[in-house]
Amino acid sequence: MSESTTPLEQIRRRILAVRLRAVALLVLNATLWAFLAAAFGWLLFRIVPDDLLPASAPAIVGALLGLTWLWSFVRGWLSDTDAAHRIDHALELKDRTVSALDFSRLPEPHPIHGLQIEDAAAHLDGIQVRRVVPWRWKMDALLATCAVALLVAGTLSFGTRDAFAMPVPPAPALLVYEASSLQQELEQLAEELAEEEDEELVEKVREAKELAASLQEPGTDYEEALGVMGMMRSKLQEVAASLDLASEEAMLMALANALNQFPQTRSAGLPLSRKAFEEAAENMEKMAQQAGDESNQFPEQSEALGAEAQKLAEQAKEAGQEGMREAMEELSEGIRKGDCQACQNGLQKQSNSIRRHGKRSNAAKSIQQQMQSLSQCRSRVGSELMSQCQSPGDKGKSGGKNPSNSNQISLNRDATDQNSEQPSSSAGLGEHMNPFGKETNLDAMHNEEELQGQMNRGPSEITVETGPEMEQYAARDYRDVYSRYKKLSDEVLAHEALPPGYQGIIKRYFESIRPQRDEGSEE
Amino acid sequence: METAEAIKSELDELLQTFGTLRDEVQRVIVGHNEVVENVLIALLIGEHVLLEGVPGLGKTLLVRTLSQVAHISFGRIQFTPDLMPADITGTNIVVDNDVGGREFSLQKGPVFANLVLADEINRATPKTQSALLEAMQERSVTIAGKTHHLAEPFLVLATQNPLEMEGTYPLPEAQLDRFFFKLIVEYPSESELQQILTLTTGNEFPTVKQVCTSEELNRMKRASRQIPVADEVMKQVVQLVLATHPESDNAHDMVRQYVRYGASPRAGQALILGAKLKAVLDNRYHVAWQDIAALAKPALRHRILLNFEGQANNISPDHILDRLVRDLAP
Repeated sequence: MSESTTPLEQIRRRILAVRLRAVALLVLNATLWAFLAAAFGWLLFRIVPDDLLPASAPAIVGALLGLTWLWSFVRGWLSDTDAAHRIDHALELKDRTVSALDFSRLPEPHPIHGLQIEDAAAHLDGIQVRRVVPWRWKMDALLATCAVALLVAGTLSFGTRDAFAMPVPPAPALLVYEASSLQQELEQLAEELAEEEDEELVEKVREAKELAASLQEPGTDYEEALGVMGMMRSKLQEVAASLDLASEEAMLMALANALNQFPQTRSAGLPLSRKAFEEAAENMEKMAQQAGDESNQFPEQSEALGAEAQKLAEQAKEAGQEGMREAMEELSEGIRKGDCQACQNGLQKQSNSIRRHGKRSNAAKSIQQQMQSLSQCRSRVGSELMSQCQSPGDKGKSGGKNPSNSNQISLNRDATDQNSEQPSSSAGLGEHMNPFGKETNLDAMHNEEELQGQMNRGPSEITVETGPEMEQYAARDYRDVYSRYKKLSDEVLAHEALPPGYQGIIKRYFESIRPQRDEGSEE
Repeated sequence: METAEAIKSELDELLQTFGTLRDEVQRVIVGHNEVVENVLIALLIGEHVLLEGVPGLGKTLLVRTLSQVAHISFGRIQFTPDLMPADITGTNIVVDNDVGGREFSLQKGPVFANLVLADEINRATPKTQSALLEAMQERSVTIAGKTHHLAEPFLVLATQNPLEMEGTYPLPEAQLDRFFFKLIVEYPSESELQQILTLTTGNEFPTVKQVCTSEELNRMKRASRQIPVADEVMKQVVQLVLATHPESDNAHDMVRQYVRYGASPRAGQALILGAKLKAVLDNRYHVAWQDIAALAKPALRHRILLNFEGQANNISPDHILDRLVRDLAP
């Protein structure tokens, strides 16, 4: 023991040395564990696909576990007292260090406290710190080796991730076929709506095309396809609703009636009445050119035509047909003012409007056709899905994740339908597990009636017999009853396990109620 | 204030005397080392001990030997159902005086001895048993309205037989609590039994010599009490005592299930005082958890009252204390 330092200082130095070593080993240990966790995370990142286990998951779990462990370990070394407990425990010092620390804090220590501190210092003097906090190098070496091995394994596992990845089955051939035909039809629809100014309409068609294309993507199954087709259907319905052909066509019919009233304009009115929009548009274009060439082409009925045009413009305004309103207003203004150029412009605009309506009308027909094909397509996919559900045993062959065989059958459906007149070779070979069929449900109604008799007077005989009064003992002999129950309690005490204290209570109780010599006969 | 050297010398003397006492007693008593050590601890502290064991295990011999080696007065009371309180405490009797008259004179009972052996204490009626209560706790006896203080050291060593419960009066909890330790005297081992037979069947019986006087015992008692207890250890004692209380927040699960009443504060006092002496015997100047753990069963087993479930499942207080000590160890 050094003479220059007091025993208490020596104890504190020892405690400090032990704590420093503990912290150093803690850091080393934590680093190794972190290294191991990182190596494990690296390996997982290299071999496990993201959709199965995100690369961050092991890192987060490892960090949480590590922090919990670290806290539980650090907590044991936070204070001098904790460290002193560890020292006493490790060196079997019987609370010498803890007591010495405690006594050192006393404001007025007794000489015996000094003796205790000296005793503790003497016991701590020769201790080896590594005995208190041993370095478990084997464990650390194992950790480091495992970490390095995982790191190397992770680094060398090129391409393993793809191998471990779940194979995505290609889309069923039926869906690919249906999707391509739907895409073609939608392409045609898009072309018809190419000149359409409504961007929202064009956007919806484009979305429907994307949905159709998604049917061909790998991993798509029939259930998903039905959902996608449902979305396509709703998109097409929105497009059809946006076209709003009914009011536009009503206005065009009104225009046709107005044009048919005048011989000069009948060439455009008649085809319009027949809904030959292209022809009507061409004839109206010719009329527009003539109106530009010859001024005041219809002098006789010009006022009537202008009034009709004005009337139509007002109707178009009410119906929200801005294009037609503009054209008719220009025409009526041109006629009223004798402005040939305005007349020509008005007729030209109306001609364009009719041509556009024709295209929209064709697009609407295409949409109807598209919806019809979509319904047929849904029906085919639905029946294919139904057949898969009904024959789960054949799932591996015809359904599930890779239903290519099933699709082959579906693709040949047309051919099969054509050959359906030929009898199947498997007819009559089926077997039903329940040859007696289902039990018939008892659905019959049960009417329950409760019948009650009626109180009535009937013949009865009552006989009263009286006998002599007799005296009897109402009570049993107490001695007999006691002996019976005493015997019973003796049997219970002999055969059943009761705590000794309770046995005494039972015995004392029966002793206390034991009949006296002259008691039993009286009771 | 005493100097460190003086304290050291006192404690050394205590240690040496204790060793000699133990050696002398063990010349007569074969085996039972733990019982002998704990009885000696109680003797040095001046507290009462309840010895429980079947007949013939040397309980009475141990007490008699103790009185011989410590050179203190010894009184023996054989408890029987017809024993009266006055048989224990003593009574005033009429005697002729020198001047030819008569006067009352106190005839002191066996309780006035330094060491009282209450043999088969559970055979006397509660009325007689309670006559010992005042003597054990207050260290005084009241006879005919006059209180007589008992000489120091005063300790009662009571014995009881765990068998033959028929016709006995188990000690009430209040009286049990007044015993510092309850020691179980086990049957000797094969070698010990052989040694006992050799020792007791010859012509010569070993004799013991006087080791200390009552004054020395009192001085050693004071010396042992100055051993300090660190706060950490004191907390552990408190935790241990509280853990025996089923209604306490610190109660152990086993205690909650099987115990009706836990240990009283006297149990904590017994643990600390006994542990101080244990520390001296281990050449230490402080009390350690190991001392407390070693004395947990002698100091607490008679202060834990089992409930019906505990009795029905044959759970013993020792079993519960083993678990408590194991679980509360730092």
